[in-house]
Amino acid sequence: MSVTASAKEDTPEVHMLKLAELPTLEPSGKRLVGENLDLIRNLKVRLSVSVGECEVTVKELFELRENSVVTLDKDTRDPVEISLDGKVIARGFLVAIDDSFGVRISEIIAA
Amino acid sequence: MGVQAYKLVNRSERERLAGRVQEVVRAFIARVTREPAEAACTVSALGEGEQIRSDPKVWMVGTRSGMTVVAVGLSEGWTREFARLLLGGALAEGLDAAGLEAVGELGDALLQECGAALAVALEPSGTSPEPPLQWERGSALQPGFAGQATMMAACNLGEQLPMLMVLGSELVLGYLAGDTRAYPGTGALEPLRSAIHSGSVPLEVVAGGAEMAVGELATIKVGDVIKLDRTLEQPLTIRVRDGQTVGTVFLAAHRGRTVARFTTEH
Repeated sequence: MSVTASAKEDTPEVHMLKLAELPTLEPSGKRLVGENLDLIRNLKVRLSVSVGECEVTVKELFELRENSVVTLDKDTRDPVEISLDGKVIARGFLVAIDDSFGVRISEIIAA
Repeated sequence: MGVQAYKLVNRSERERLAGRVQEVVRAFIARVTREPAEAACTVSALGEGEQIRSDPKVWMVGTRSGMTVVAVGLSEGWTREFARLLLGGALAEGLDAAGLEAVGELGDALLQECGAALAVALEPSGTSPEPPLQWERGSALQPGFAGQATMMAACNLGEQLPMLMVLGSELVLGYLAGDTRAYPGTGALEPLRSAIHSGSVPLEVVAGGAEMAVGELATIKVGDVIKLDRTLEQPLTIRVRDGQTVGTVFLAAHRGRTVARFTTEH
């Protein structure tokens, strides 16, 4: 297929971009963002709720079957832990909310 | 016995040796794991100046010019890294000194077999010379390549040819779950099995989670209720603390304690 003169004129010119070399400059001046939480206000994070932990040996782990029972390190009255990225940020108690599990916050862990 | 000087002059020779090591490695893996040996790894020839690939299932055999190392470095830190590679994070962290020693012995055994096979393969007469290798723990530790844990052994095959072996593989998970009676010849590795079986694994029961915006999270206060992504009929997840899911459980109370009963429901 031949290319007409007018089509050639309409075709944008494309060429490779070449970045300039980075000049040697030290970071200076006031902080650009500071601790502005508004910037990340809409960022989604995922909380995880841990009911309790236990330790088993590898041998016990490999022998687990249906109806095997392990005892957790919590009394039934102890709060559960709410974590963000593996760090406990709050504690609370399991509740039923509609037909789902929920957790009522009882303590916020100071950073 | 005098040690003959060897030279690997071309790629085909390196590939021949890599092939020989692959046979040894596969035989070793077949002895200690349930994994099909063919799937466990491949051994490639590593040419002068070539990069070591960051694939744990590709083992490489190569030479490095100017190397004068004659020892194998297996420090405790190294064996921990190797154990993580073999067993996963949680199990490796649970290993005590005896377990780490057993892991190191596993690495030693494999490397020595590889080294001996190389020595035989390099012997022009085809007879078996004394393996011209010196193995020593705790020195000449080599860092991992390409950001992954690797097992490295450096030795001299003769006076002219420093040999570097870089090994990285998920090796013994199948073995751990296996029945040693079905694998005669695994007796030498029993200390590893025993050490690992008596190691402890931290488990955690998770009642689910919730996704929310940072802005919303910042306003949470005592008394607020967060709805989780788990219905009351669903079992909860129990996992190894490093994130590997073990199964599902229902919670119950027993003598004032919270207990978790395993189920096959999901």
